[in-house]
Amino acid sequence: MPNPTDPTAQAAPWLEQRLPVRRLLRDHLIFAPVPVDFSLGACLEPLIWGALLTLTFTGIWLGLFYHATPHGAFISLQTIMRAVPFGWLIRDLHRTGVTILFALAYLQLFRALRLGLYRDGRELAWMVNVLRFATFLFLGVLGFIMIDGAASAALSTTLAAHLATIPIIGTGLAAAFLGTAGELSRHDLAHMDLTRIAMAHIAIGFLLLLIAGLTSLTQRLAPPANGNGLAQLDPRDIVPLHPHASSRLFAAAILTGLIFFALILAAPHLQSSRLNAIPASPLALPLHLDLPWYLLGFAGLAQAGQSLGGGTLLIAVLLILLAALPWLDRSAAAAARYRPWHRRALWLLAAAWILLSIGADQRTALWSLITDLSAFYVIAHFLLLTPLISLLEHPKPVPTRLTGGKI
Amino acid sequence: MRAPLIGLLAAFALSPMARAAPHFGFTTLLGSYNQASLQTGFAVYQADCAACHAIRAVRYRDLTGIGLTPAAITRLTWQIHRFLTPGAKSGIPMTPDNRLLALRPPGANSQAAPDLSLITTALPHGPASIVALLRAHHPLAPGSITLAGGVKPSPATMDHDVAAFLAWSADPTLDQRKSIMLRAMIFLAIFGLIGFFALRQDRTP
Repeated sequence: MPNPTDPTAQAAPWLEQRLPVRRLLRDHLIFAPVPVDFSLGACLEPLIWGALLTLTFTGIWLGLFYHATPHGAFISLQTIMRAVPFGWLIRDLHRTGVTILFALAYLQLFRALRLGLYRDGRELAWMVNVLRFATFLFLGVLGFIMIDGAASAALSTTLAAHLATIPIIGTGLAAAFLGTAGELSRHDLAHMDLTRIAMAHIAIGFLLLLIAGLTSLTQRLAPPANGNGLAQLDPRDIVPLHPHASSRLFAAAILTGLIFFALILAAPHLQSSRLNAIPASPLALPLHLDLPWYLLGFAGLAQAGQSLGGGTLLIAVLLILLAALPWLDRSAAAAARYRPWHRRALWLLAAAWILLSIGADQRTALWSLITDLSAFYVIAHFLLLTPLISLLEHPKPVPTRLTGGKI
Repeated sequence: MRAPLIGLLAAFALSPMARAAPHFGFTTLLGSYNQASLQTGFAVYQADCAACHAIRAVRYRDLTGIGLTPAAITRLTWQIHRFLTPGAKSGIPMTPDNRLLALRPPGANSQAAPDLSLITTALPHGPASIVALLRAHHPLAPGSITLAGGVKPSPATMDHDVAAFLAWSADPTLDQRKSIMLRAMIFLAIFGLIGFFALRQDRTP
């Protein structure tokens, strides 16, 4: 209840008294408490929100003109790009926005691994974060299938085949996506039901906003992310976002926007396959999987699985190991900068992931070996190396005060 | 010291391969389409390709994008209508909204030829692949089209221009995209600098 004798309380508008949006914005956004070493990496979270909202709004706009029918989908995208006013711009923002989102999401995951942002009270936030990333991947796959080109059809076939290898629910799950009511047949695999794919893309897209909201909420309630990986911060090391770090966040947003527009200008087809210029048809069979870059690491992992079921298993195991990371890491220090061997293992992990992404599309025996070794390292990094190094390594002393905040 | 290098470069520049490699200005970072070239390319398409190949993604009225006037497009659609239905006064006339379908006369062999709407996106080297394909498998004969002023373009020009026209068909908004994105980037850079220093000013030491 506002105090009737307090003039400032009486001056508050009717709506603000009942729904204090401005106060919430002030306390949790503009003057949100952030660690004093708020770096460019810390800007990744708000930037992911920016990319998500861009994709949501452009996606709604595209959905107004998209026809989810076997022959209509491909043509409707061409109509969007040619006959809808600024439709080409909306589609460019959507498809290049996906590249930006995944670039930010991969960087954010790696930063979390480097700083130990998965432990010491942040376990729930981290698991929701992994769920959010898995949802990004699934939505990326669904969106790529919606293009309805030859590469889309190949990916939909692969996705259904992988889904079908999941025990008990797999066949039903694949059939549900394929739009067949009963048994899954080989004929159906080539014809995914675009209506269901589109509906799943939209429904899970909105569900993703909820998951992202939950990610932000759990992160806000967990100890603040900081460069030293501390669970408890000295109160003097916590500052309001504005004016302390707002210029840095603003610069990060502008830089991301510049990269975004430069990509649309110079490489509008970056994540879309050349084969997707050909409409999906049983006669247009790609010789190799032509995937967007953000799926290549997982494609390499699936390839190292040697079979469809093995590939599905490896991808599932990786995501589960990521979520279980808080209990695999037993070290006294969280941040990699105080753990020399752990830090080296993390750089090897990044290298292995890049090799997997390259190897996914190679057909030589040498690359096959490299892909298998990289996949082995990626799994072993989480399952064996992380627990072993964290038990054996003596971390350097961790300073209890933060340094930084130059910009 | 530098002479052999220059000689090598000159030899490369004058080599038949370098001369034969077609140059498409719009494939460079900020280059745009040449409308005269696109119009010649459209004429070549009509004369030498359209009998079998459709470009269904393009409607006749979209041809304003290569510089044709609406009146010229209407005239063109009437010509095509008369060609497709000889002697017919009734029936639905072709409208500028129609798509570029294959111009087979009625009763002709209707074997399907691939649609060319997105051919330059699908081929690995874009319009250069079209030129290579035409030279290797389907050389265009000079004389199928006559430009204003009675000039009959050479086969090399015809290859180049029809490839440019097909590239335009696959990506008609390329010019708009480049100009809008460039302006957006200049705006962001200026707005970003002002905003960054304004926000920094707020910080008390």
